[in-house]
Parts: sequence; structure tokens; C-alpha cells
Amino acid sequence: MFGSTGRKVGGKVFAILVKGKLLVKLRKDASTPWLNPARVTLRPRPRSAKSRRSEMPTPIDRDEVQRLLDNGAQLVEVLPEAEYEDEHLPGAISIPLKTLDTETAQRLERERAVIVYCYDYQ
Amino acid sequence: MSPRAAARLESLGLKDVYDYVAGKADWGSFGLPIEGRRDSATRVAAHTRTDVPACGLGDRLSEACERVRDAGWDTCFVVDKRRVVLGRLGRSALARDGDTSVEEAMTPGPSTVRPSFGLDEAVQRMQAQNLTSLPVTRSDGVLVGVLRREDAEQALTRSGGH
Repeated sequence: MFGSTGRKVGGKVFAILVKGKLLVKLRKDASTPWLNPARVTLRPRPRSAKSRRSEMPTPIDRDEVQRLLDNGAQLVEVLPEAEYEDEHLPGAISIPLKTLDTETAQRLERERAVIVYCYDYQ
Repeated sequence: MSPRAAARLESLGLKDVYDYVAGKADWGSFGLPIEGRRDSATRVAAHTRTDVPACGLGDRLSEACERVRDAGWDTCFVVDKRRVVLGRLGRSALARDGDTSVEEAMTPGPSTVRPSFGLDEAVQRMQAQNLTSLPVTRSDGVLVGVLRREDAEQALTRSGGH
């Protein structure tokens, strides 16, 4: 297959990978000198927790917040406006979660990092 | 709330999104500046005395007494190498006779408040519990200092909040 690599997984089972992802598992049948296509199984490799995390926004701590701010990140408080008025991190703007849409998101510059926060682990 | 906001921003096409999960409660509890109606001036951090003496568990009580006397205080905090609070030596402990260790004499695990604690709430607590001061620690237990009741009450009076 294009761009694929074959790998013996164990015993009579062979795996064919494309870009590191399992595409096909084939079992060598005793009745044929090579791989029996009837035993072809398509089993995409389950996403690992690490690859799942890389698709999610990155959680950061206080030190990382300061580092990102030093590098020009935008800071957004997503609590209701009254709570923002009471107290907020220096330099933060208010975009309450309920109002977060295409229009309000335009207040943010897409080429700069964005840090969102609320009160605590809510 | 912030994880949902972060996910929503990503769905709106922003690529470089981060979630400060611990939030502004964490920020304030570390004594970092806060803006807004309830800004830093209305919080304990701005009025905390940071020159309160400290000593270690292994110190002798006599050494601690001398340190407290030289510093002009009547209390001392027992801390570890990272300045995490382990105990407090109050007036009665400092008045003890005999060659004893700080560890034996101290009151372990004193109640503390965070730097972000409201000044008005701190005064109410000290008045209700007849306290002359409140120890202030960060969220990681590190000693910031002491809020003295007289300092807090004066600050509130000046700001018109008392």
C-alpha cells in the first residue's frame, strides 16, 4: 500500500501501518503460503490519551500564564460581566461564556495566543 | 466554565488557545495583582506586614525569643526551608522558661488567610474572634506575613469602608 510499512506483530499476524496508524491486520493462514485476505480486518488504532489531549485546548498553570503574557498573549475572563467588574486579572478583557460567538470572538486577534479563565476549577 | 470557553474558541477557529484552569482564585491566592472594584487595595495582601520574624523547627526557643525581641514583634512563625508555615509561637510560648525546642513550644498549624482575602472580612473575623492579627499565607502554604488588626482597621477607615 502507498506509504505503508509492514510489521510482524506476533506469530502469524501482520500489521500494515500508514503514517504510523494501524490500517490493516492480516493473519497468515496455514492453508496459504501468504496472507489470507478473507481474514483482513480494519481496526483503526484507538486514539491515545496523549493524542486526544493534543486536540484539546492546553491547560496551563499560573507560571505558564505569566510566561505567555510576557510573550503577548491575550487574556479573557469568561465569567459574567459583574464578576469581571468586581475583580479580574490585569489586562484581561471580558467575554462572558454566554456571549461567546463569532461576533464577540472577533475582538481577539487570531495570530496571538489566547488564555481563558474563570473563577477556579468550575 | 473556562474549558467550555476554550473549546468554543477553538470551534470558532482560534488555534492557540490555553485554559488557565485554576482561575483568578488561584491568581489572587498567590498574592498577584488584581484589578476591578475589589482591587488589591481592598485585600489583605496590600496591608500585610512582611517583616514578621520566622524560625525553624530545630531552633531553640531561646534563640527564637531573641530574634522576636530584636525585631520588635511579639510573635514568630515556624517555617521550613521553603517558608511553608508549620506553626506559630505566640506570647505565651515565647514567655516559657527552660531550654526547649521551637517544635515543642509552638502551636502547630495556625489558621491563615490568603493574600486575596477581603480586608473587610478580615477585620470582621478578627473582631468576632478577638484576634490582634491574622497570618497570611499563599495557596502553597508559604508565609507572606501578618495582617495586624490595627493596620486593617485604619485602612478600612481611610477607605470609608468601616
